[in-house]
Amino acid sequence: MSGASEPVGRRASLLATVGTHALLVLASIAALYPVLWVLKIALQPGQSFDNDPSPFPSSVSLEHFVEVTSTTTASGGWLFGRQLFNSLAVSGLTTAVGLLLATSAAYAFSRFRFAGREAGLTAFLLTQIFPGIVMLIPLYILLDLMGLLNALAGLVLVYSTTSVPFATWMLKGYFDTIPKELEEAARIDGASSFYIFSRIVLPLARPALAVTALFSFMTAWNEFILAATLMNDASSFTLPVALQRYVGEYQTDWGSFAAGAVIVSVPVMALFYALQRHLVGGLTAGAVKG
Amino acid sequence: MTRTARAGLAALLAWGPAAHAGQTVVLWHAYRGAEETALTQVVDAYEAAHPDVTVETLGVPYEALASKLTTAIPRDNGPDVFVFAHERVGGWTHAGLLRPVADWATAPSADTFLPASLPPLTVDGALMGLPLASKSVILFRNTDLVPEAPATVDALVASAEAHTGPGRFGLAYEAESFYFHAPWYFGLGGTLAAEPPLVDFTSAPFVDSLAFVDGLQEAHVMPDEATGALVAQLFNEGRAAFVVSGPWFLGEIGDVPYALSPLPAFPSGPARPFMTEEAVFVSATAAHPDAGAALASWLAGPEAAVVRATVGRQVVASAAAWDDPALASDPVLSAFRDQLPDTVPMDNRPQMRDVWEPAQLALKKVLRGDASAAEAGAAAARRLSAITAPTPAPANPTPYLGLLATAVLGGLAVLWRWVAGVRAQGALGDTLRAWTWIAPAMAAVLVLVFVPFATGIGISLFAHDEGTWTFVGLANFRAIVTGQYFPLLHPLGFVYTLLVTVLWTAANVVLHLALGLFLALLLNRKGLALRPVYRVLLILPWAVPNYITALIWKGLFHKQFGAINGLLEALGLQGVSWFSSFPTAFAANLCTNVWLGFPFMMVVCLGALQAIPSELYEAAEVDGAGAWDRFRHVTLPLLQPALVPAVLLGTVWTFNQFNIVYLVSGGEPDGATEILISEAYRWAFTRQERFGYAAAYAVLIFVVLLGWSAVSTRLARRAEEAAR
Amino acid sequence: MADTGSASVQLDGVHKRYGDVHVVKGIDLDIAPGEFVVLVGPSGCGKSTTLRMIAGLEDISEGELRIGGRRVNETPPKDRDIGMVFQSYALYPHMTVADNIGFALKLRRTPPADIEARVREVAAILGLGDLLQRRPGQLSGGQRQRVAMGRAIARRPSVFLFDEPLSNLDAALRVQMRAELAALHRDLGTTMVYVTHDQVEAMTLATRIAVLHQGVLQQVGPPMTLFQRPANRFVAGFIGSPSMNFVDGVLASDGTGPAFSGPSGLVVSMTHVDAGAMPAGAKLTLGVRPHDLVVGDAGPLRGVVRTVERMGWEAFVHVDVAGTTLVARVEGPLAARVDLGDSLALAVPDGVASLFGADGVALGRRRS
Ligand SMILES: Nc1ncnc2c1ncn2[C@@H]1O[C@H](COP(=O)(O)OP(=O)(O)O)[C@@H](O)[C@H]1O
Ligand SMILES: [Mg+2]
Repeated sequence: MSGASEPVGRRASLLATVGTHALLVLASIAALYPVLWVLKIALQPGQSFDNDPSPFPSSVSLEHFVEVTSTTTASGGWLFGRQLFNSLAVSGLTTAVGLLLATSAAYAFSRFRFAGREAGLTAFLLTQIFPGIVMLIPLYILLDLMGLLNALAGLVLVYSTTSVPFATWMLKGYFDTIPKELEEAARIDGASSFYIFSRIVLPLARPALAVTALFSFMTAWNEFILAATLMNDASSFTLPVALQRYVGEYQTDWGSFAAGAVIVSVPVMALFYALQRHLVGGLTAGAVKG
Repeated sequence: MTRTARAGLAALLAWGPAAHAGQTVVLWHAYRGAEETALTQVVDAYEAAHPDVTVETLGVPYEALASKLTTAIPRDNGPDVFVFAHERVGGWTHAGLLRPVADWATAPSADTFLPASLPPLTVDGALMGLPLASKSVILFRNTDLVPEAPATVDALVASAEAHTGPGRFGLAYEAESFYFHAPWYFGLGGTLAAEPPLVDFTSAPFVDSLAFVDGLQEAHVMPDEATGALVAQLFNEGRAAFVVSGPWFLGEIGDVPYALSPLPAFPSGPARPFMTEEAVFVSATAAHPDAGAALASWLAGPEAAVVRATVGRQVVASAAAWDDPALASDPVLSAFRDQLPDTVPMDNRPQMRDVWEPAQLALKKVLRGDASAAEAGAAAARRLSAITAPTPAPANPTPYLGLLATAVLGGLAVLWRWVAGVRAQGALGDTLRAWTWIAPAMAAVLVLVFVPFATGIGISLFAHDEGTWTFVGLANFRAIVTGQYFPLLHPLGFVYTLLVTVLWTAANVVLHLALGLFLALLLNRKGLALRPVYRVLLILPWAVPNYITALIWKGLFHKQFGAINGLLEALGLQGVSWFSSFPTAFAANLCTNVWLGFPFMMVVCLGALQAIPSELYEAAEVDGAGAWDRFRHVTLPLLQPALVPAVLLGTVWTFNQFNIVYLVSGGEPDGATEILISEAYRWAFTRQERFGYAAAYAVLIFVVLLGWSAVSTRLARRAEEAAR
Repeated sequence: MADTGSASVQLDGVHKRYGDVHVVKGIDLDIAPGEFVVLVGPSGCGKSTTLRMIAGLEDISEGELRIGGRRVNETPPKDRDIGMVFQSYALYPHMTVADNIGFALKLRRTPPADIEARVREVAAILGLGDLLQRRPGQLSGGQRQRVAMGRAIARRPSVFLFDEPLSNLDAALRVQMRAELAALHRDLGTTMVYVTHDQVEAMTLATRIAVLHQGVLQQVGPPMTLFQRPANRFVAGFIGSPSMNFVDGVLASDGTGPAFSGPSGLVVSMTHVDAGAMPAGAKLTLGVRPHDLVVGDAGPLRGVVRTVERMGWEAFVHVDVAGTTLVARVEGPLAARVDLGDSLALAVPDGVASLFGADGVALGRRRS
C-alpha cells in the first residue's frame, strides 16, 4: 500500500478532507440503503412492503426468519438445514474443484511455452462471451447422459467448469508476476515441478487464490436457474432455488423473501469481509505488473 | 471417467432420496400455503392407508414446474404423478407427455365431477387428467361500504364511482393483466375462436372492453398499475370497495367484512371470467404408473376433495364432495361454484399462451393513455401475428451436412498438420507435458461449455414446435435480420434491440468506471480516516446475489410501494411511474446495475492505484503538474493496463446481463428496454418455446460480441504500443 | 568446509537456438576444477543463456556439456551438483532466511539437526547470524545478496554459478562483496562460473576471463593476458577502463620492421608485431591504451584538450587530434594542472601498441 494520489508528507486542506468524507458518506449511504431496506422488510411483520422511505423497521419480529428456516421435508426432516447444507457443500466443492482445475491450467499457461498455448488461452477467453441461456437445454441432456441429473455432483461439475475460464485468466495474470527465478532456484535446489508449484508458487499466489475462490464460491452460491432445472426434489435444492418459491405467480411473500435474501447474502458478505484485503491486490496484480 | 468412478462420485454426492423397499410414487405440484397443507394431509392419509407406498412430493413454482415437466418427462426423469392447470394439456398431449385417463382409471360418469370440469381436460375426445379444482375470479366487496351485490355492470360502476375519492377506489383489480380483464371481454360478446388466433384483438368486443376499462381509469375508479399486493392492501385498509380476484385472495384478506358475488352482467350478457381446471395427471414415462394412477384417483376422489376444500379452500371438482354439509353450507366456496357456469375455460392448446403478451400490451397502452382502444387493439393484433408467425418451411439439410463434413475434415487436417509441425520441431514432449497440466480444465470446459454451446448453434438451424424439431437451415437468422416478425427499428426488432443493448452496455460501463474510479481516488487519499469502514460499505453491493438485488430494486422502484417514490414524495415531488416510459424504465435498470457493478471497478482501480509509486506523483509535481495534470498524465496512463481487461470483461458481462433487465423492468414498456439476451430468453421460455429462434438470437449475440472483442482488443493493443 | 568437492566444467561446441534465433553459436570452454571463470560481454550477448545451460535451466540445442567429466546435457539441474545465485536473488519471500538457506537440504531429506548446523555455519561465514528468523522482505539489498549466496553454499555444490550477482548493489557494497566473493573462492576452492557485463568485476575476480560477443567466444585467458594481448578489437575495446584508443591507418615500413602510418603524419614503429605477408598499405587499426600514451610538450601528435576527468592523483584527458579523440592518462602535477583548451603533445612508445587487421583480429607478436 505504498501508492498515494496526493504528495506525501503534506496535510490535505481541511476543505478537501471534509469534502472527501462528505462524498464517501453519501456513496456509502447509497450502497447501504437497499441492503438496510431488505433487512427492514425481513424484520417487519407482514408480507408486503410500504413506501415509507425510512430504511429502519417500524417494529421488529423474527417471524420471517423463523418461517424461512423452519421448513420441513415430508418426512419431518429439517428441510432448510438440508438446503443450507446443499448450498454449502455445492459451493465449497465447486470452489475446490474449480480452483484445482484453474490453478494447474493457469500455471501451465503462465510458465510453459508450448504449441497451442495461444489457442488454449483464446478458447478460455471465448467462453466468456457465450450467452449462457442457450446452453441450458443441451446441458440438461448432457448431465442426463452422464447420470448426474438431480445429483449435487452435477451442479458441482457444471458450476466449477463455468467458473474455470475466468479463474484461469485471473490466476495466470497473477502467476505472471511471480518471478521465474524463484522456481529456477528451487529446481536447482532439487524441488520437483509439483513441489515447486505447491510449495513455492501457490503460497505466493495466495491473494489471487483467495479472490478466485471467492468468485467460484459466489458463482455456485448465487445460481438458481440451472439448479432449479436440474434438481428434482426439495431436499436437493440449494438455497436460491428454495428462495425462489417465495416469489410467486400471484403474489410475492416479500417478508419471507427478504429474510431468505438476508440469510443467503450473509455468508457471501462475510467472505468478502474476510478477503477484502486480498481483493484489492489479488484482482489487479496481474494486470498492473504483467 | 470410468463407470465405477462415476457411480462412486454420484453416490457420494447424490444426497438424493433414500431408496425405499416399497414403491415410491413421485408427485410434483405448484401449491403453496393452505393448498399445500391440504395436499400434504391428503397424501399422508393415502400413505397411512397404503403402507407399502411412499409418496414423495415436490413443490415447485408454477412456471418452473411447467418447464421442468417439459424437459424431464421425455427423458424419463419426470414424476409419476403431477398436478397442473389444464392450460398445457393440449400441447403436452401432442408431445406425448401424458397418459390418457382411459389407460389408468375407469371413465368418470357424467355426475362424478362438476359439469364444467371435464371439457378443459379433453383433447381430441380423450380425457387426459382427473379434475381437482376449478379457479376463476369473482367479485369481492367490502360489506361495510357496499352491503348489496350489484347485479349489472352499470350498477357496479355507479357504486364504484360513489366510493371513489382521494386515496379511495371503487374497484381494484390487476387491470393490466388479460386474465383479470377477460370478464369484460367475454361479457361484451367476445369469444375464444375455434382456430388460432384465439382472440381477435381488432374485434368490437375486445375494443369495447378496452374502452370500458379506459373509462374506469379516466374516472379514477381504479388505481394505477395495480398489483396483487396493492389490491390486497387497498382492500384491507378499506380503501377499495370492490375487488375482482380469485380464491387465492381469501388468504390475504385481513379483518375486513366482505362478501362474494358473481360478476355482474352487461346488457349483452354476464361478465364471464376465465376458468382454469387444476387436474392430476399421470406422466407418460411414470416409473410406477399403477401406483401413480391409484394415487391420482385418490387425489381426485370425494374423500380427498373434502379435505382439499375445507383445508385448502379449493373449489373442488368432485361432485360428491359437495354433499358434505361443511361444503354445502360454505358461503365462500359456494359463491365460487355458482360462478362456474358463467366462465370461459381457457383453451388447452399452446396457442392460448400466445394471447397474453399482446393483450397485456394493449391493456397497458390504453391504461397509460398512450393509445386509443382501437389503436391498442390493432397493436395487439400485430404483436400476436408476429409471435405466432408460422414456423419456417423445412430446408434440405444436405448442403449443410456437406458444409459440416468439410469443416470437420478441414479442422482435422489443420490439427494433423499442427501436430506434425510440433513433432517436427521436436517440441512434442514439452507440449504434451504442458498440456497434461491443462487437460483437466480444458476437458471440462470442452465438454460442459463448448459442447453445449455448439449444440446451441446446431439448434439455431431448427424450428421447435410442440416437441417436434424441423430443420430449417438459416431461416431463423433470416427472420431475425430481415425483421420478419418485428420491424427492425421498432421495439423487439433486432436492430432496435441491438441498439438498446449497446446503449445499455455503454452507459453501464461508463458509469461503473467513472464511479469506481472516482471512489477509488477518494479512498486512496493519503491518511484518509475510516478508510476500512468506507471500503467495506462500498463493496457491500457486490456481495449481494444479483437476482436479489434485482428484485429488491424492482420493489424500490414500485410506483405505489417503492421507497424511491416514497422519497420523492417526502421531498414534495411527484412519484414517477418508472416502468411506463422508456427513459425512466431504462434508468431504473441502469441504476440497479450500476449499484451492483461499481464495486468491482472500484476495487480494480484501487488495486491499480496502489501499485503506482508515489515518487511518480512527486516527480510530476516537481515538474509543475497540477492535480488535474497528475491525474491526466500519471494516474490515467498507469491505470490503463489494469482497466483495459476489466473494461473488456465488464462490457461482455453487461451485454449479457440477463437477470437485471428481465427482473427489474422485464422489458417494459412494451419490450422497449429488452436487451438481446432477455429477448432470446423470451422466445425460448415465455413464448411458444421457439428454441431454434432463441438459439439463433444467441448465435447473433455471440457474433456481435466476437466482432466487438476482436476490434477492441486490437484497438487496446494499438493504444498500448502507441504509449510505449 | 573441507569436504566440498570441486568439478571441472566443459562446453563442447554448445549452441542455443530459440526457434530461428541463434543465440549461442558454438562455445568451447574448458574450466578446470577450482577455477574462477568470468563470462563477460555486453548485455544480450548470451552470457545468461550459457550459464543457464550449464545450470540445466535451458536445454542445449547442440553440443555437449560435461560437469566433472560426465555428460550432463540431459541431467536435471538438481543432479548437476551446482549452486546458483541469481541477479534478482530469487529468495523465497514466504520463508525465513534460515529456511531459504536450508531449503535445498530439506529437499534432500537431510536431518533437521544437520540442516540447522549447516545453516548456522553458512550464516557465520556470511555474517548472517542475527538475521536467520527474518524474511527476505525485511532485509537490505546487501543482506539479501548474502542470503542468496548462503543458499548456494549450504549445499556444498562442486560448481557455483553466478548471474550478475552484484549488479543490484550500490558501488561501495559492490566493491566489498567483490572482495568477499574472492575470499569465498579462496576458502572453498570450488569451481565458479560467474557472469557479468562489468569488466572491472571480471578483471578483479577471475582466474580466467571468457569474453562473449554475439553468442561467440572471443577470447579466453587470464585477466592480464586479455588486457595486454587482446585477441581482437572487440576484446581490446571491452577490457580495460577507460577503453583502448583506436586510430585507423595503413601498414608501412620504417626500415627496421613494420610500422603503422596514421593520420597527421603519425608513424609508430611496430617491430614487436608480426605483419606476416601483409602488403604495405593494407588497412590497419592501431590500438593503444590511455596509460600507454606519453603526454608531454613534444610529440608527433598534437591536439587540444576537450574534456578532463580528474581522479585526484591521476586524470584522463580527452585530446582532439585532427578530428580523432584520444584518451590519455596523466598523473601527478600535470593531472592537477591540465585544463580545457590546453595544447598537448602525445607520443606512442614502441612495443606497447596493438595492431588489428581490417577483420578486427589482432596481428600476432614476434617472439623475442
Ligand atoms: N526465451 C527466449 N526466446 C528468444 N530469445 C531469447 C530468449 N531468451 C533470451 N533470448 C535472447 O537471447 C539473447 C541472449 O540473452 P541473454 O543470455 O539473457 O543475454 P545476457 O548476455 O545479457 O545475459 C538476447 O538477445 C535475448 O533477447
Ligand atoms: Mg543476463
